[in-house]
Amino acid sequence: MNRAAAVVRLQLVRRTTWFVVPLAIMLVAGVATVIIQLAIQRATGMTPSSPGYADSARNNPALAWSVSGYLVATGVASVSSVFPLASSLGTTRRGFAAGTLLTHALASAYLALVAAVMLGLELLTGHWFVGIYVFDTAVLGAGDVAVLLLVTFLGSLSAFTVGAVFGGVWLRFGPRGPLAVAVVAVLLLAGLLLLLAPSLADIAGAFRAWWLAVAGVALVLVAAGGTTLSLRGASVR
Amino acid sequence: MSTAVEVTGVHRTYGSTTALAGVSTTVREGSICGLLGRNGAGKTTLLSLVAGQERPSSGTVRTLGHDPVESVEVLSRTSFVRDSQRWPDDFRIAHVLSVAPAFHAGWDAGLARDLVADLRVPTRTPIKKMSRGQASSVAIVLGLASRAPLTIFDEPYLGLDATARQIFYDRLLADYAEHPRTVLLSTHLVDESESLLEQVVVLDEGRVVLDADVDTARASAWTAAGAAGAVDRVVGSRRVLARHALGGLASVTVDGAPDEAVRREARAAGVELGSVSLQQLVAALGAGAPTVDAGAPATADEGALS
Repeated sequence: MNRAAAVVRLQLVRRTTWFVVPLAIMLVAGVATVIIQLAIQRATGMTPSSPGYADSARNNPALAWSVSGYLVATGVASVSSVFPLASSLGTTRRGFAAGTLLTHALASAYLALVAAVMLGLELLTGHWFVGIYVFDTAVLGAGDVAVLLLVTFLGSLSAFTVGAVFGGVWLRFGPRGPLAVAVVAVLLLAGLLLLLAPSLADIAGAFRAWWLAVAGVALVLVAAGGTTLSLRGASVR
Repeated sequence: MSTAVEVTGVHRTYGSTTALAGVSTTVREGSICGLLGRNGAGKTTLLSLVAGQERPSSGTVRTLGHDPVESVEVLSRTSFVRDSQRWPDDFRIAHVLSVAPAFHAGWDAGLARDLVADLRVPTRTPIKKMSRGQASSVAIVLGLASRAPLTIFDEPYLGLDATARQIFYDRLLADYAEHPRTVLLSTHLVDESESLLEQVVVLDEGRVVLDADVDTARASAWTAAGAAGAVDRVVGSRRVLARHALGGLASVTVDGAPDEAVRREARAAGVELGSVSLQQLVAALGAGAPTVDAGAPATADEGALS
């Protein structure tokens, strides 16, 4: 079997990690959203047909944020704890990096598909029969399934690959590796913010959603490249 | 017969620590080679170089005819589970049995299942939470069932009970007879594994101090035991590998083979000459300083020497 495909199989053999836990987190976030939105309806007397209700309910990023931390952690573990075994089983470092990236892409596609199906159900049921907005939210495209697929896929893939690069630098440089990457990333972001500060208003005015998609793809490429580079010199121990 | 492993002038350093210093050896294809030596001698480092998991600081390593680092040709035909192997969280033996065939073309699922049963590997316990012996059993399953043309065992007996160790010896020999391959085995249990080995490489402080077939290794030293003064006279200026003294008695392990003059002198002086076991030889080679004086033998083997 191709080494990268073998690594995918090695990664995905723990189905609970990749397929069950993210759904459980989404479910918990969904239940929390239902409770909060019902509470708001009761507290304010608003109904789903009230003016402005839908816009307010759509400003709910809970689903996206709730699962992202887990995806980053899973990305870290997919490199730091699986690489030694993959090496023992006879995979190359390049093969491991490629297989792990492919795993992240497959898991992200799975999450995107699940989110799309759930959005479909949400729309078909008139927002779960009581005007609850879980998947039909602004951050996920406000009911546009194509945007939801893209945002969920790229968002998940970004989280996995960022986690993976932290796992890679930890294997390569020990505890100082992730610390250094975090410090450099914060400094770069801070520098970028200071550099663009005078033009932020213009940038905000010209902002297009596809910029985020490009940024997501760039982040994935940089993170995957960083993971591959760090694994080249990583210790198997 | 061709060469499976060829190591030439290999140095490996980690910062200021030298793990290997000019190691050269070859392992014949289809043989079982024991890599012996004390803790920290460099055994695992050498094995990881052979398995392509590390690069030498200098020197060359050829495994199955190739530079093993990032070589699909080599890595797909090699199994190497470290003594301190790290496992993914929640990884169980079922996961191992499920994924291993994707990596090893010769994987024998039936053998793997039999080994899991015979070695009583827990099926529900995550490998990370297994006892030392249970984790060693998992490594043995992975190595033996892989049927990898180069199968490397790094201290496979750690924590194993006597029954499990015997199962390992029996299964290794039986499988090796049916499916010959090159086996590299690092171990401290020299006596137990001696009958498995065709070649031994002994490392000490990162250097090869013995590289020979087992019979030649056993014949490469001898022992003399008796009154300390008489022993010293018999040994004369010959190279003493290890010396143990208890009161007025002494036992020495001497490099080379005893000639007729030594035998005559020993008989006259009441000094008993003997052959060395591989265990005694490895212990002597790893002793460093040639003289060990103790109030009592530190180990059973040293007791036997005394």
